[in-house]
Amino acid sequence: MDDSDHPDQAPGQDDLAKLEEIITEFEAPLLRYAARILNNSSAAQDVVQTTFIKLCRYWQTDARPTPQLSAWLYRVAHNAAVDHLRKESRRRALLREHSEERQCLSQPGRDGPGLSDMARKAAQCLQTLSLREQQTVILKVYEEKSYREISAITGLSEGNVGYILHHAMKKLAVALKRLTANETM
Amino acid sequence: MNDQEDKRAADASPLSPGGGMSLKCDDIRELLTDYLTHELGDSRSALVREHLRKCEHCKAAAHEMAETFDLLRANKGASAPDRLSDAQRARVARALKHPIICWIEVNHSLVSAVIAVFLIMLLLASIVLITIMNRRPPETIIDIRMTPYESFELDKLEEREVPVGLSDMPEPELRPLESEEPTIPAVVTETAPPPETQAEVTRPATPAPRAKESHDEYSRRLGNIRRNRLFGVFLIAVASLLLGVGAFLVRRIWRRSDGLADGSVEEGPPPLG
Repeated sequence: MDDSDHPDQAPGQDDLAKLEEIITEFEAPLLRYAARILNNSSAAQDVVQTTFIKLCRYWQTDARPTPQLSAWLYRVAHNAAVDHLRKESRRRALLREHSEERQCLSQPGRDGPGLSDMARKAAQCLQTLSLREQQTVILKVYEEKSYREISAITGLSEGNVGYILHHAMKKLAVALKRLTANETM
Repeated sequence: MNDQEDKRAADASPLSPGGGMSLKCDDIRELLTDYLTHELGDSRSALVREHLRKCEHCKAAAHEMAETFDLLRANKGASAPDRLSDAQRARVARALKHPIICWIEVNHSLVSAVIAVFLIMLLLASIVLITIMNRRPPETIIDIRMTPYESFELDKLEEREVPVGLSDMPEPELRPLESEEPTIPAVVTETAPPPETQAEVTRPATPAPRAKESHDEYSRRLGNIRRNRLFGVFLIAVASLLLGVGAFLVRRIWRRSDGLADGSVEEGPPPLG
């Protein structure tokens, strides 16, 4: 039975297969991105699940994985991660927990074996940047997106992306230098 | 200024000789990130490369930034899940097949709040209705005009085993017609025992009839009072519901505007197809 014979039917096997294809194509990079923003792998899975559920709300039969769809999925995942962070900070404010606990959320075994102390510190310093700066650094350094792709995801101009990235890297360099100096003292 | 304009400007201006090198250091440092991430065009990359070859300060700054990039990249292999769990995939597939159920699951807090408010409204309305229906009907005053000759206690009448006959009646005192006693209206309570507490005496459950008010007028007034009370409860419930929905919408708009300042981005519909 062809779907075109019954255009108003509920989504069929063909739609499910296309959805599965899109999920397989984009879940890994989205999970990496969300895990970097949230510093929590299980929360990252929830965020990515929410992202794909949102995609289903706008589903069309001719959907397919495209770079434009990738940019949209990153945007939705980013907003879902921001919402999660906002809820977490409210929850922590209610429970009166300290802000350092956010860094402790990263599982001890998450970082690869043999990761240097400096590399770990660099990742921790990344968490001290603003969300916009973190987003830009993660997309550039870890996801290896071009300025054009980052512009499509964030809605910023390419020049603005370069500006934010440059100043984020400067801040990171200064923070790392200060951290190293404090430890040697 | 976008990248293409930058490239044209860079190509138009040749590298200035020796004395201009210090003037260009600030410009070069602003371009270091773009240079290290391979986002500069070929001509400008050549400019930066040439400057770094000659300027030790800028070379040190570039080296520091490159180290920071390397440290971040060293953390690239940190483990993050590379796929969703089977349960999560099934939930996404269910969202495609049953969008309404999925919407309820995603917005469960709003749906729960609406159901809770609706149940509270229903409960309040039921309590008010039951309370009104179970209240004592008002005392009905029946204006019975009896002469002293004819008045007697009703309960004594019920205790009698034989009907009242002329022989049981007290001997009336014959009085002249001119001295008629004033009639005594008898209050007959149709139902209910006398009030047990003083509070019930001082504050009757329903409004007492006013003087010179007929039974029909009193019933009509009581009905109006009951309708007004019900309407009042209904208004309070609707106002509470509207207040809750309004607060939810305001909070959503405020969060959205706050979120945009926080780094959220406008999503729009996905570019499918």
